[in-house]
Amino acid sequence: MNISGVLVHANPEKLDKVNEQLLAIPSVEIHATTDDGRLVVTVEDDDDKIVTDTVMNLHHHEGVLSAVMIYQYSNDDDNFEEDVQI
Amino acid sequence: MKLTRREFIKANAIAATAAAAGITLPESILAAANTGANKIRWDKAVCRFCGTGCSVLVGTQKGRVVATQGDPDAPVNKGLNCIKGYFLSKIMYGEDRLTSPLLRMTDGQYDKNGQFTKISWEQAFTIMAAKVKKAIKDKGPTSVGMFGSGQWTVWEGYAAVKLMKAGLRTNNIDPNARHCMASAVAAFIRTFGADEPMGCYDDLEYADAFVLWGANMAEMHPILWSRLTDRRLTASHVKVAVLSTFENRNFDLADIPIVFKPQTDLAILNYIANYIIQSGNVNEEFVNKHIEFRVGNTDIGYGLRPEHPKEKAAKNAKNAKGSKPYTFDEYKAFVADYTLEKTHELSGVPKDKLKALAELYADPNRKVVSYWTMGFNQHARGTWVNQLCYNIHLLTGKISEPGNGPFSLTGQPSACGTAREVGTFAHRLPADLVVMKEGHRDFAEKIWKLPKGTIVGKPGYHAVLQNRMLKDGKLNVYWVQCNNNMQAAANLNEETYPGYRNPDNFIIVSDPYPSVTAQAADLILPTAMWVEKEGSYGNAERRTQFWRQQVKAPGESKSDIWQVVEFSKYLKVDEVWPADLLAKKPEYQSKTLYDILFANGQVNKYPQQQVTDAVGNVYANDEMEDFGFYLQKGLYEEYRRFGLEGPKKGHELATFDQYHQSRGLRWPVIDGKETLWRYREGYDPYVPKEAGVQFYGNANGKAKIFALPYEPAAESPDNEYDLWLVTGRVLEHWHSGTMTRRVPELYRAFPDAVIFMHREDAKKRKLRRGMTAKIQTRRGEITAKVETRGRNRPPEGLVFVPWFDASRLVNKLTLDATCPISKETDYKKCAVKVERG
Repeated sequence: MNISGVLVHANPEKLDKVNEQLLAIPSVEIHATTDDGRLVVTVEDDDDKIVTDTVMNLHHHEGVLSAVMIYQYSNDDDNFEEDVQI
Repeated sequence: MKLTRREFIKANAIAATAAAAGITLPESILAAANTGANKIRWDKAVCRFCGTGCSVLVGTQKGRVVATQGDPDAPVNKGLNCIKGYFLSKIMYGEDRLTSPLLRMTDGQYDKNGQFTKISWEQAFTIMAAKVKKAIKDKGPTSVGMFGSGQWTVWEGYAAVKLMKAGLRTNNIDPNARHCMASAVAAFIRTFGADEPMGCYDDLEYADAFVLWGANMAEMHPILWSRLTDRRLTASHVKVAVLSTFENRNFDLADIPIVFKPQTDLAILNYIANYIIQSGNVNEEFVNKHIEFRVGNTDIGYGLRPEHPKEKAAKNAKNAKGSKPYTFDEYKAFVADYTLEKTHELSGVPKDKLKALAELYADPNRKVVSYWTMGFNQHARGTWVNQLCYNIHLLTGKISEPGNGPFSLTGQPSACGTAREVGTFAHRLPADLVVMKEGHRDFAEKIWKLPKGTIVGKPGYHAVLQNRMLKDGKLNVYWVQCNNNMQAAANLNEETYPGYRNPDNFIIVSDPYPSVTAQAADLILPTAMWVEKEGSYGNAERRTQFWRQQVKAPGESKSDIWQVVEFSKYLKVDEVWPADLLAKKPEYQSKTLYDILFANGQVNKYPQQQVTDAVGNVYANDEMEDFGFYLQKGLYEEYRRFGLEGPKKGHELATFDQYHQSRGLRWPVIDGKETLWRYREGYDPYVPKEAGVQFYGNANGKAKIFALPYEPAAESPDNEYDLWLVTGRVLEHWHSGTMTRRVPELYRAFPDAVIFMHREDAKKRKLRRGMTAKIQTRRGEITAKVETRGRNRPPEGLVFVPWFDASRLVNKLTLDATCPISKETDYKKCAVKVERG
């Protein structure tokens, strides 16, 4: 299981475009957006290749000024759909 | 509350990201993230890569690092991580880690042309000691040397300096930081009399304008770039000027984008000084009180071998550092030559852009920070170009206060903390002291309990000279730690390789991986890296940070510090010191260098103890285990005395224990308080009341404005070699790629070096994007694929090739011309031709 938290800085004038492009990528979710162009994004997948390639390609979308990794988890366990009591 | 593990980890990812963004989230997500048992042990560490000095939280599970996150409590990165930092957890787990010492052997005997064969540490140190003793006996201490690193931890650099300068009595120790920020050092010393920036990263939130002079921050310092972007986007009046010899990612944010012809930054800076004077924007009170003027020697050569025609032709090649007093009026007349017209002609920059840039600095109501990295430092006039930038900040008084100042960014995690502050250069001692001054040597000998005369007063061979002396057979036993200089040094074919493989020489390389340099060695020592040892780095803003050992190193690998200290046991003092020196300290007669340097009652003062964090987790310390005392603490506390008691003021560091508890402190640390802006009253406790500003690195308290001209590059394009070659880095790889190319994701993201070139230049040579090109200079050739559309967009007449790629060694092409003052190589300018491959 691989899950990453990414902070994206977008050009505020292109915010809608950035939202649209990122949401078109499977496994990307946007959890919060601010008017000045900051987006809280998660990228998840089971396949290592897809997660990291997605994360690394966030830079290349039009209107994205920077994409900074905040949180990275990768582990081989496969019981991640199990409930945990918290 | 019930959640799947996936939801739980995702909630953690969201919470950490939102916290870093300063965004408030719904309670439910935070509640999910804040509870629950977590089997991962988290502890702070400093990132292994660039000089920014980000703090990361390292997650360890079952003796292995499995996760990292940006440290939300870190003032530097405020919870952010860049793409390299994001993959830190994987750098220690490359498949080809070295796990035992390897010696080139044939039939059980050392043979320079033999195969690498596993040996024990005892065998390794025994042959090293024999080679060192023989070289010193035959040719004296100058035949022994070491090449170290701005990636050494503070105590590793300190132990190495002690072993070389005090133990073996050779000053032939230099760090790879010579390739990185020696020009910044030389200019700081020449202008301010004290090394390192006056300001700090807090300037990023105060400035009204940012000017990047040859710094690709978006790729090389992404976290600082992200702070700069944030400032630009949240304060509409802020302007960003980006100067480079080709367009790069920073241009996306630039209000004033400027591509200039290589080397003409010297002219542009003098034009700005001229503009400030002509427009009446000199801060006269500041200049009258705090500045003295000088004019530097010109025509100073290019740091090539003395027999090179360019050196013979240069009037002041032997007196590059010379200067004479000057007046403001003389300086004014000197820069008056750099008119808008002339500067435009020389640089190729449109006049309106030059004026807009100059106005940022001249406007008294605009706070400006200048940033630079290798564009300034790796420059045949590197010291000058740094100083010319100081000039414009000094003329306007825009320095040493929030949002105003010149700031040199560093490329390595401890270029400041280790290379500069510890003084691992051929001419330096800790805390800004130098070997040339008797008083400084006396002080170091007192701290180190050595007889007078132990430290030699003549500077040793600097990095570039070390390779030349290896080739010439004058430097014969050479230990390389924590860097990859076969790949990094310029002119590989003519200098580096023949030097390492010279049959007269014995080359030892310590590395975690079989780097290009390790493979050119005679003896390889396997090295524990990053959080496999307790460590300490000092970043570009004078912040010293510590971390604890998180995991064990594989196999028999040992940290650099262990290697240096353990090796010293194999050398008896009477085998390496002359009898008359030893006669001054007869009690040392039968001792080893280990006894004298490390078991000296100071370094071995702190007994073995348990290392724990605030919540009681227990950490290993393998060196403490092996030597029986707290080696890191003892070395550090002895080193700290240079700042507390030494002749150069303003270098105080906090105690060992304070750094383990904090997220780093910026020196000078006085009464437990760090200093954010030096030389300014109210921020720097050394500046007396009512002085306002005092540049106390110089005896008269004044900074120096140097009049220095534009002079051409060492090698420029001509009819045959008709393009400029610029080398540099890319976001995904750190320096020579020994770590990042072993992270599969980073390797895949940028597997091979390419040649970035203009489409028209490609077309003229019948090349298209993706085709293989042959890239050739007078010194060598390589092949690489053509890229005409990538992130770097060179103008016609210039190509850019990154240097991370071990299978395309771009330093076969480069020229080993240096700034004659700083001795730092110009990796940004030589003449090249490109053809179909």
